[in-house]
Amino acid sequence: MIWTIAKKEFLEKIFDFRVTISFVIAIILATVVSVVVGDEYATQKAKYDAMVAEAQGIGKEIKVYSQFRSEVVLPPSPLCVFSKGIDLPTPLAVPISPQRVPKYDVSLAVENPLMKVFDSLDLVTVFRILFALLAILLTFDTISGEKELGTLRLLLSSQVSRRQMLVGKAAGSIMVLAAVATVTTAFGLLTVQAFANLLFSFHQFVQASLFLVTTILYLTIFAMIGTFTSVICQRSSTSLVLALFAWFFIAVVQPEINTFLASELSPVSKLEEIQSALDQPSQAVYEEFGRLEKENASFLNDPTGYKKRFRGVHLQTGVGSAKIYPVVTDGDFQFLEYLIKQVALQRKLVDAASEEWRIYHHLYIEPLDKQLAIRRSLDNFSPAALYRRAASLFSSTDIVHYEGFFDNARKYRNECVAYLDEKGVFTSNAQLYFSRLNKADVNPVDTERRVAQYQADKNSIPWVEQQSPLDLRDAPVFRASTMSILTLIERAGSTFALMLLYLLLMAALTFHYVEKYDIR
Amino acid sequence: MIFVEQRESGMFRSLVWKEILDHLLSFRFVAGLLFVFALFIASSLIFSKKYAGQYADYRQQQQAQEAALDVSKGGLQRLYRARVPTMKEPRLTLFFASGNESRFPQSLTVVPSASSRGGLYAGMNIAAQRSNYKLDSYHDFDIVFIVGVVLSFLAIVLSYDGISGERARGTLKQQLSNPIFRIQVVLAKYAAILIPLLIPVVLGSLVCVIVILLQTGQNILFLYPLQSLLNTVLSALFLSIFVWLGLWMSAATSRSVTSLSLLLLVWTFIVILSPSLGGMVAQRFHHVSGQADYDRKFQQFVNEALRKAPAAYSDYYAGKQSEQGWKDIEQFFETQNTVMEGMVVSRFNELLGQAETADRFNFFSPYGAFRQSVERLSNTGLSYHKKFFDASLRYRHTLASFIKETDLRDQESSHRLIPFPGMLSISTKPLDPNQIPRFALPSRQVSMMDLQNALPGILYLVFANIVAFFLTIGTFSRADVR
Repeated sequence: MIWTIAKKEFLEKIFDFRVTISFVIAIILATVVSVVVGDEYATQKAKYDAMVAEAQGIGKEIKVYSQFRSEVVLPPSPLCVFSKGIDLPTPLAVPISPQRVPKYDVSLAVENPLMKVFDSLDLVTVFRILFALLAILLTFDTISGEKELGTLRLLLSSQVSRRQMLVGKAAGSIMVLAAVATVTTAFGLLTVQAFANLLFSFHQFVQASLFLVTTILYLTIFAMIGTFTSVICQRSSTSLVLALFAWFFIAVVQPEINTFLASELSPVSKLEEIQSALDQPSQAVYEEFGRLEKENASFLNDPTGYKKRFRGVHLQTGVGSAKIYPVVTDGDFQFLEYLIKQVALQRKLVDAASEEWRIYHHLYIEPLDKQLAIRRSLDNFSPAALYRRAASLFSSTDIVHYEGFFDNARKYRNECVAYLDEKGVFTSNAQLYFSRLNKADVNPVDTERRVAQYQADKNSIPWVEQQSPLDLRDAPVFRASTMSILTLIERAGSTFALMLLYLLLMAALTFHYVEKYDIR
Repeated sequence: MIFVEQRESGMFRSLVWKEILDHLLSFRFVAGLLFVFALFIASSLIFSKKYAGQYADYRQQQQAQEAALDVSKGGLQRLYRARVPTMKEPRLTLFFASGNESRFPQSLTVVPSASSRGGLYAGMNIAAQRSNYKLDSYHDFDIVFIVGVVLSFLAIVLSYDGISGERARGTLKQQLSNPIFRIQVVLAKYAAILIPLLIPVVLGSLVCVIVILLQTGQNILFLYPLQSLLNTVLSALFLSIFVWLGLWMSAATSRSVTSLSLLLLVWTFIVILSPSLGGMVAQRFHHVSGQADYDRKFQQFVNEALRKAPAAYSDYYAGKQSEQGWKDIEQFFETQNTVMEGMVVSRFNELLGQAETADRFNFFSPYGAFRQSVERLSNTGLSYHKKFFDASLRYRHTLASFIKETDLRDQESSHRLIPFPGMLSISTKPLDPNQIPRFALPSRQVSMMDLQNALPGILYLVFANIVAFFLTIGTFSRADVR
């Protein structure tokens, strides 16, 4: 019997003008969104490939470890047609250097800041607002309409229990909504594929279907709201107005209010204000550099001194001042000592960078996270915001996704530091020689042995240009982590649970009032 | 005859009065009104807090500006190479239309010597702002949002059954059997919806004024009387479109419910979804070259320019200097600077062009037109950004010519205005800080130019009203009452 009612409702509603109009609007918007996003994705993908190729080339020809550097690139997500999530530019190339902890920099790759004024659409916005409205329009007269037509008595006098009747009617509407959402999603997917010139992987298809499931769950909540108002109101028009107020608040205003409140109620600091605090750790090291220069001023400034005796080669490494000397001639102890101290200071800069990151995190990231936490807890009370959250999670465009990338980049940078530590060298002028020695040999106490070693090696040490590239096969490799489907579902678990809770709440209320409904 | 006319006008007035009372007492109006008031109060509280923060930032920036202009040591020579920050002023009119300014660059850096970037660091990164990249972008709850989204929704909810409701109840026949024209019935209904809707706009604005006055000591209405008035008029024009649409639909359909469903789908498209299309369309069809490309081109230009430098330039490094040589170098750099500045300006115009394309597309939606006109009248958003950029550029010229003129008056100076350290040699005498020109912000008041810029939007809204009016009248006068 439920099935009969559901089928009747489905067939009655699928050709309704409201469904037709919203479907047409949705298809128009989905076309615009998919064409623009697909096109953009194709450009970004090309850029990403170029960046990755460039990044892979970076480490190829290095001759000393001080030149070691790397770059990791955040790929664009083709699923951003569903949800653009937080508005960070992709692809994002993040340089990996021992002396800098990778972090998101707002000024990275903003193409046209003036375009930030405009909102951009994604399917989740269309579904969140338009289809939720459709859900209300399809259900607001479920009971009150039958009552006005006089068919409710007829229906209730049949063998069907009130509950069955309600389930059947709701199922019919939900089937219509699911059909429309599925067709629009599939249309969006196909258009993106056509315009971005790509084929989705299995993983991405699963993500897309999870998005669809969330959409249907979300629309069901609204279908329930519409049914609920139709039960409690005597007249369909009152029911509609009531349900529309609910829709307007939940789908249109609330998600905006949440973000607005979160960003206005809790302060964040300006980067300029904390800049001096950030510079402190490295400043201390640079002062030590200054002292070292002063101590060695006598021979550094001696015109017949090291400048004449050591041939230097400038390297475009971008890491500190990487001027490389093919080491010391004729056992210049003072210079050797100077270089070793410089190496130690360069190493200290690496620690200073980690310290700077700690301060940055405390002063800058934590207030941002606090805003985010406020937003998230406000969002828990808003089905539309929950839906948006789940959608961006399934589109790999949410903040968790970006943070995962930067966490990995930081991990990778630490691995690189450990790797260079193990090689016993750090960025400085002394590498060429030291990089060929063992770590134990880079020890200021052991000067005698080192000098002896140098004397033995003297004639066999080639100039930098003549060196063969280092073998970097044992160097750490960056691994981008993709979230497995299970992790995705696990992460979306609480969001799903809350949405289900709202659904059950609405359903329980509706059933309660239906049982109590006075037919007169 | 006279008697009849008097009766008619009395009839019309009582009709309006009855309708207004009807609406004022309806559940939907009271619920909407309360919600709008709550929004007005909350957002004005938040705005005044934000305004205080912006003002503090602005003060700070002003101090930075003063510090950059403080040339008690170094005199003109230092001023010539100073980096002077200019900053947008926080405006109370941001509450009318925020223009999404929090997503914009707020400051620029002006360098009189223009040795690089045409003397204007276009400040195109927004790192200097208090924005959180971890949150999605959101809309400020300014008056445009409250009127444009919330009240227009309310307008539809109030008007959807204006005629079809009466028809369903059967009172329409009675109404029309009175000695009154159909057009008067429609006008009465129109006035009866629009007037209650304007109550929250006017009262809400007053509440905001009081809240902002208490919090910041400044108020919007009296500081910006013309702008407040124009904004109210624009709001009324915008809302009136939706009232006409509602009445039209209610005249055209037989069931109120159908009328409301259709109206809402239209409303969702016009107000919520279509304003996002402009940006996407502009991104797709109005391409701009990437920032990296532009930087590369700029650097190339600088490198090539140095290669084309006059012989005196290399002579200087060879240790040969002559009076004519200095003149040549100065002339050379002046020309180069003009070209470089041209590059900066054309880059800015290129970026602005893309944004303007988006604006032009959004103009098709009445909501976009409404927002744009209010922004232009309130001195916020894109148009203000352009004014600010122009003002900063003018400021560089003012500073540069001030330096040139003052230097000429110094007898001991060797008058070498060349933006390269080592070559630069102008007056180093201490300067009276009050003499140095200060950055002049774009005017707060609305100018003829702003009115002109806002005119297309206003005309569009008026035109949309007229069309909707004739549609309604046309449909209703042919409507079958049965």
